[in-house]
Amino acid sequence: MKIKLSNKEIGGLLNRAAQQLDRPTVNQLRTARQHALQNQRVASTIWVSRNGLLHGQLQLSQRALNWIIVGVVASLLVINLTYWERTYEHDHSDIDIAILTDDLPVDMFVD
Amino acid sequence: MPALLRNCLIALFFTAACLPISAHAKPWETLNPQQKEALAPLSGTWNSLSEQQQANFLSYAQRYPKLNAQQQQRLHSRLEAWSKLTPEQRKRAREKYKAYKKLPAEKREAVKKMVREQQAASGVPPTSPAQ
Repeated sequence: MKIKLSNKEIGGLLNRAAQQLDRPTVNQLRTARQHALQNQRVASTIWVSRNGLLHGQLQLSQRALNWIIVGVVASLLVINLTYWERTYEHDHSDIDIAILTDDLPVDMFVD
Repeated sequence: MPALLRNCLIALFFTAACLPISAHAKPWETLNPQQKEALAPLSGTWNSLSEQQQANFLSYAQRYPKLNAQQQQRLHSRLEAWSKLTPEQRKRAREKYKAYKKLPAEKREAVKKMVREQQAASGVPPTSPAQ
C-alpha cells in the first residue's frame, strides 16, 4: 500500500527527525549548510525575448561573475588605451605639415 | 555585496565612463569651403577615411591658410600619397624627419643637393627651396 505524503507533511517529518539528531551531527549539518551558502550560485537571468530566441537561466558562481566583470573591465581598458594611442597621432600635425611642405620629397622619409 | 564584486562594478563604471564618445565620420559635403580647399586632393577618398584620419587631416586644414603658396602646392601634391600610408609608416617618417632636422645645416644641404641630382638624373622636376 502506497502512502502519499504532501510536501508539508514531509517537511514536518524531517523537522521532527532533525530534532532527534545528536549535537555533533547537528553541528556538522550546520557547518555544511554554512559552507553551501558561501558557495551558493548566483542565478543570472538571460533576457527573454518575445520571439523566444533567448530564454533560460545562466547559473554563475560568485567567483565566475567576478572574473567576468574583471574581464570586461580589462577589455574596456584595452579599448581605451588603443583609442587614445591612435588619437595621439592627432598631435603630430605640426611635424606632418613640415614633412608635407619640406624641400625634400616625402619619399625620402618613407620606408 | 562582496567587496570584490563592488570594486569590480566601480572599476567597470569608471572604465566605461572613459570610453570615447563615438564620433561619426564627416561627409565631404559637410566641410566648409576653406577645409575643402585645403583637403581638395582627398575629395575622392574623403568619405572612405576613418573618423580618426579625418580628424588628423582637418587639423592640417586649420594650418593651411598660414602656408605660403608654394607650401600649399606641395601639401596638395603630397597629401593623397600621405593619406595612403599606414600609421606605422607615418610614425617612421616623422622619426626620420626629426633625425634629418637634427643634422648640421651643411649636412642637410648636402642631402638636398644629392636629392636634386638624383631627381635631375631620373627626369623628375626638382623641388625648389622653400621661401
